[in-house]
Amino acid sequence: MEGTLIVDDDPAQLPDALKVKENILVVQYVPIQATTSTVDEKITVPSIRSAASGNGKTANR
Amino acid sequence: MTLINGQVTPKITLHQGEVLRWRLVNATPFRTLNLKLGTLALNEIAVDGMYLGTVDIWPAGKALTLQPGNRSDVLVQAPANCSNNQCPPINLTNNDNEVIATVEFVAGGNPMPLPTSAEMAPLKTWNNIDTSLVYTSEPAQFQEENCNVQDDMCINGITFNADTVTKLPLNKTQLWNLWTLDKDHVFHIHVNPFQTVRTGPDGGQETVWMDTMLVPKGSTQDKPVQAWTTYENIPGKAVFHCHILPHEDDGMMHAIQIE
Ligand SMILES: [Cu+2]
Repeated sequence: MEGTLIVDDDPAQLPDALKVKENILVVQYVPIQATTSTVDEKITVPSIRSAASGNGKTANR
Repeated sequence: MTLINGQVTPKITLHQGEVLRWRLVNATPFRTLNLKLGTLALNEIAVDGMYLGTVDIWPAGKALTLQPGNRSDVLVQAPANCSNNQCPPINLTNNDNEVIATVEFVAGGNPMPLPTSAEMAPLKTWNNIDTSLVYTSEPAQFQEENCNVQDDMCINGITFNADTVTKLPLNKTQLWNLWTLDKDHVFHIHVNPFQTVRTGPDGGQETVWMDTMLVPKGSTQDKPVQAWTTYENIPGKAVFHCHILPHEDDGMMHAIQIE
């Protein structure tokens, strides 16, 4: 049973409506305040990829 | 300050009409997330990496809650018809007032449908357990004080040590009765997920599989939070713990042996 917790999608098993692009969005927290002088707020989230390429993994445990 | 993938309020771009799958992870050490996406619904298809077998539609204005350690897979459908090819950008917010990402819509999308619950049903990761067949039950009281190690935290009065092990039966259904002394804690167990009941987006009770869930302040020995597991195929040692990391680090963890 271990390992099946982590979704490892087989694209062939997915309905067409789930053959979509995806982002993994890892929400983190650091106990400081942001200042606009030190961050670039226009960065686009990386790691968009197609679920059709397989091996989409949900996160850690 | 809340970050996504290490970035402050990143911008996420969707094509008009496009469906995007977000695999959300609450990787914060100790913050509950209450997420909303402006005018759009969050169409939840999986929790903690396990398909629900349906689509739970959290409508705009109704927060999707993730405890520390929780994951949720949601589908986001960009609006298809924008005037002059322009839809205003929207915000992904936490607790209504904290913008943690912005979402913009650009032209040129290929409009896509959302899956139906009927299409998702065959993907359901685990069949529900017959909870009338409980073989054993285990209590777990999450405590910030009155522990056997002074100034540490504990479960059932015992601060974590690898030699205090609770044995759980292989291939039998076991019930967890979980409660806290006086504060919120987050039950998380390794290797085997559990079945529990949550309040779904329509306000009704819903049976779901998770591996991380809130044990709220106010739960008691007489009114515990309940979770069911059948331990299949994997004997051996593991742990469960509070997923509020300062609590875990202070000893709110317990070893189990499945055999
Ligand atoms: Cu805790």
